[in-house]
Amino acid sequence: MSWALAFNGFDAGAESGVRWSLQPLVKPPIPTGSTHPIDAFVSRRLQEMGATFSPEADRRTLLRRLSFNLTGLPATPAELEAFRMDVLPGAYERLVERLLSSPHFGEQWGRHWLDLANYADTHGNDHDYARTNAWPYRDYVIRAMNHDKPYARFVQEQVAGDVLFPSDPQATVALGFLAAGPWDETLMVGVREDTVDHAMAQNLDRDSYVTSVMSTFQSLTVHCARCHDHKFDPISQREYYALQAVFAGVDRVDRAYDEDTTITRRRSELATRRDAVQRRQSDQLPELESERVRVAVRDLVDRWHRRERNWTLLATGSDSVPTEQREPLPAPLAQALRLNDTKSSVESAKQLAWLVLEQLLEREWQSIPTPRLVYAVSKDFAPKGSLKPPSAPRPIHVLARGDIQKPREAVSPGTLRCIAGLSSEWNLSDTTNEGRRRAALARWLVADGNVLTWRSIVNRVWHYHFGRGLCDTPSDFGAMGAAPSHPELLDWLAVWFRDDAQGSLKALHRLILTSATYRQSSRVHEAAPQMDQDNRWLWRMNSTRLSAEAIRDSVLQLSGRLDLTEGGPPAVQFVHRGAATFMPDGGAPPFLDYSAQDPDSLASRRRAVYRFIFRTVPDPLMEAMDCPDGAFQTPVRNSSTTALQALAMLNDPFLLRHCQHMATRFSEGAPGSEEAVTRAFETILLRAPSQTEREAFVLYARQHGLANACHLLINSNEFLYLD
Amino acid sequence: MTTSAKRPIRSRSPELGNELVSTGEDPVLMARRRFLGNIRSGLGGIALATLLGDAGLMAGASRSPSLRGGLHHPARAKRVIQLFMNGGASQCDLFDFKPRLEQLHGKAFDPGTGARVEASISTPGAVMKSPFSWARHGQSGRWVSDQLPHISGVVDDLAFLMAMTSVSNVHGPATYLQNTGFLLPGFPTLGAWVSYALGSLSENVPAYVALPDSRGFPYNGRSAFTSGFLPADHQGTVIQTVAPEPIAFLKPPIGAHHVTEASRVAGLGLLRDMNARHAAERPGDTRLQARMQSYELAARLQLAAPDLMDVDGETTATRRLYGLDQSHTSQFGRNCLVARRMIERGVRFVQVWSGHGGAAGNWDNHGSIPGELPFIARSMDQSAAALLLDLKARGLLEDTLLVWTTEFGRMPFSQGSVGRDHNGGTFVSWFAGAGIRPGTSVGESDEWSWKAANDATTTYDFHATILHLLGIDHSRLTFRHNGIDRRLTDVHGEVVQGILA
Repeated sequence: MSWALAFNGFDAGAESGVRWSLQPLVKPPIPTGSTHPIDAFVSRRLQEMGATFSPEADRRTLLRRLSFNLTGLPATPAELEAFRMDVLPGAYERLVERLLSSPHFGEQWGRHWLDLANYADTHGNDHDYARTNAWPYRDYVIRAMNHDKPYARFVQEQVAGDVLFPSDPQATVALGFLAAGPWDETLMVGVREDTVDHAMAQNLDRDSYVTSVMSTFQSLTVHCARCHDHKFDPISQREYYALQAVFAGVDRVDRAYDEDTTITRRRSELATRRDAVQRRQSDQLPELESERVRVAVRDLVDRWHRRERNWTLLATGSDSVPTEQREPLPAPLAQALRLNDTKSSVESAKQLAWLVLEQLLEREWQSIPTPRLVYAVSKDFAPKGSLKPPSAPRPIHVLARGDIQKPREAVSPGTLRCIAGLSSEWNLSDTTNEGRRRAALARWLVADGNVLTWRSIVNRVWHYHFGRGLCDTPSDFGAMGAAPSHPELLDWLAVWFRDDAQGSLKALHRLILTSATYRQSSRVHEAAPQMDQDNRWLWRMNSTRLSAEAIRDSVLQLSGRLDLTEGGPPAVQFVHRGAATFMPDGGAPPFLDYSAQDPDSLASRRRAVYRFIFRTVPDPLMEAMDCPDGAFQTPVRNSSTTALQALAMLNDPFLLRHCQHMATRFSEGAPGSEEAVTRAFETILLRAPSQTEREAFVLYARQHGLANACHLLINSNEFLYLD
Repeated sequence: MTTSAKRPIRSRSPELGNELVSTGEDPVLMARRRFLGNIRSGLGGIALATLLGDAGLMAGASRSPSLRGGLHHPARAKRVIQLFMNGGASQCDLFDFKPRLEQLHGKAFDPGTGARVEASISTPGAVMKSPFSWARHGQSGRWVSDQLPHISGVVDDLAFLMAMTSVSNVHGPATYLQNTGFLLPGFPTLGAWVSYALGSLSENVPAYVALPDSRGFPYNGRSAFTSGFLPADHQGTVIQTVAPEPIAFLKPPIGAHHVTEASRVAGLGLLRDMNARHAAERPGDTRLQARMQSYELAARLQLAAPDLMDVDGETTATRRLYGLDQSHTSQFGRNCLVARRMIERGVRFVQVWSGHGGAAGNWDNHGSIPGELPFIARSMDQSAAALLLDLKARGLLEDTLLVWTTEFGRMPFSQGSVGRDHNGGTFVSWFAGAGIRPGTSVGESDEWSWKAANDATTTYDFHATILHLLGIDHSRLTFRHNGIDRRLTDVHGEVVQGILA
């Protein structure tokens, strides 16, 4: 089926002519009746249903909800007390501000983004080698969230940061996004270059770039068009391969970057000067005539004649280095000085000046800190096995049925045609420049007219706040995805975020969190609309289960053992058999034991976002609690309820140990079990026990110990679910 | 609250019998679907649904007597045991005898069709005959090499797929393909699909169990047992039968002395009360009840699990049959015996692995066929045949499907001097038991055992056939994920009729 046919078919099938997500983005008027724009849209829909908002949740519920939502950590009893005591207007808004400016905000919301990027610290697949330089990207994401990097910039950096913002090394780190998913080392490096398997792997590698970018930023299932025109959305197979061509010039490798911009500037400036010296271009090097060089040459010649033939003084400016430790003169200099005796002095002085400057610059070059590495994409890298840098972007063909052995016509880089008003072909003047291809795609993604980009991100943010998006399928705005529950609100938010908030995610959070819609109680009440048991119209807050990470981090905070160190190489929270099996290029697949890891080790006490994420051998506790395993992008996490989960919550060694620490902590200074039990309830659940609970738990703690009692509270639904 | 995927559910349709249908956008059904997505548990999800009064929606066809446990048509098999030879078992050294290789041994390999000869990690070497001796066995006259003396004795019970093909020649993707129908990570395995479709036969045991080689996980690690995008409860429960803790989290860790049977029992009571009060204040939130139920199910598994693995109660004769008395066969033998105990106790799908990932200790005999293959073959042969004989003797073979497979075969030419490189062109699998016509075969490789020549069987066909025998139409078992209705067989697959009874 041709693209045109596909498009027409699509057209005819849709009621409104064009799918909601592709319609032009216009800001609808805010309905009257509420001062907060979100509440205005939501309450209008509720009124149509004959329903109303639920009452505002109590302060304990709000604090718990906000704290987990914004930082992934439980609130403390002291924080609850402070919130309750703050009777002045704006107490809630102040709480929101405090949490939004916490460094833990970036850790929590960065983790959401890493779900989309499909981040892990190993390559995945059969051997699953460690990917030791993935983490700088993880830290980049966390920092971007904390610093509220404008969304357009955030998007562009992750697709073409190296090209668009070359002076900012962090924009290169951002390319870790493209590389974050699984990668088959065996197929890309190990198998012979001339095999079908290798060619197939390269095709799937490019597919993963297209899939990551288009699912994340566009909420489209473009990857469905690899074997044929998209069956449901106006995306042709040709457009799909045009997108593959955008990434045809890069591979995934460790890529060098500098820690900060001053180093980059120094490096690039020095590189220019070194280059000029190499070419002996004196017009570009005024310093050749400088006092520094003149003095150095004179000094060197003097010493040469005094038979002090070393380099140390010149290099270090100090003569105090003992003779035996002095470095010999570099060979070219020594040779020039020998010639100095025979040649005419003017010519040789100039020659000496060049050589001295060359040596001085070399010294400076070596003093620049070594670049760091991030696992990202690059066109330049040292060849390894079958993985070789392409001299120019590889030719891309439409593949019949997606079969690498059935290439059809060649395609130029380009993008989708279905967004009205945006050009899908870029007519790049230099077809061999792969960077321009990615830059063009990045700019296309963040164009004001790219209606998908702006709708997609506001819906994702909504999803993480409410446990469900305004559109239920955050990575599929196509015909097979869900229709939005509040299309006007979604559009209003998209335009507001793009124009008024200038892409500030924190502004968007603030707007959502301060709405009455968000502050509602989650309880089902008597006036609940019978027609909307599912809470599509938001007559109450949704209740959600804590994420795997939040459970793990909470337990550490409650036990008083949470290490809040930010960033850096991942914390290895397992024992591995033999270093060789775990590091890159090791021989055998990894053998990991999570249960053998000491729960008290420093690594075990780091926040879950910093743990070493092993794709094929995930942490069983985290896996049981629906933590993604890094095989697929995860726009929506599962929230399953399984017996395995119950067993993990009951018997995981890490949980049990930290419940023991909790018991010690809560008993400290407590005169008896009653006080300790009360403290356990107040710290774990942010409330005092009822009379019945107090009696039962005190009795239980006396018989079986407070650690077991704390463990029960961690296992309770009240702890694991957020109202 | 949130389930990423729209999932098909079973519903009854008088005209069509029972089938999986997509439910569209009906909000009531959507809510129920979300609810069911949350309560389903690998430990008898069906039983749980019944407990929660939702049998009509949940139980579906698998409870209909006329379909004998099938979902779309009457099932021939109730359960499956799959033996997976990790590393690529050499078809041309085990089952696929080729006189041509004997004749041309040492000559340059030239298939003569102008076809490109490629090997995945080596330069194609000279033609290499099998270093083993061959004979015909049984009424069916099946050729088997001397490396499998026990399996040679039961060939008349087996149905061979003599020309299976794999798209990939590389372990990682080929193992994914053979397990999930896709070359990439993230897709549900065959066992997970079966669990999703049929659930467990008992509320005390998981539906899908994986028994990895005692020396380690296969290629792709734990993702060889993954539920992929299906709900987490469909992942394979990994049982390491010889490990100190065979099942993760079944018991408190050894160092946790403060956890006792008394503290556990009293604690669960207290937790139940607390959760019940909490749930009572939140009427209509079914997740809370489901979570309470999951603790009950966990307790049942804790009780049932030791018996699953307890081979001490088996007779000496049985233990000897499986090779538990010999060091070279005891580990794979134990897993085969445990597999039989599992299906007796209601596990729906058991996968037993021979060989682990890595360069040795598996079927990946690059270095030397005569040096490496006999060791791994000897560790598998007796126990696999024993399992078949034991299932047969107990009448279990009537409704149990036994499958022997691998991710690809090996080349008819040498790698180095006497090794063989990977070959997805042709390899052998066999079936036995429920619904299978014994003593038959389908497909034939070329004269070299290099590529499939006639009636090739793809991985999709292989999966479609297993699902078919379980009463499932592979094209109708779907799950919506990231915008696509996914199937185990992607957009392919035909049931291999030739081996069906």
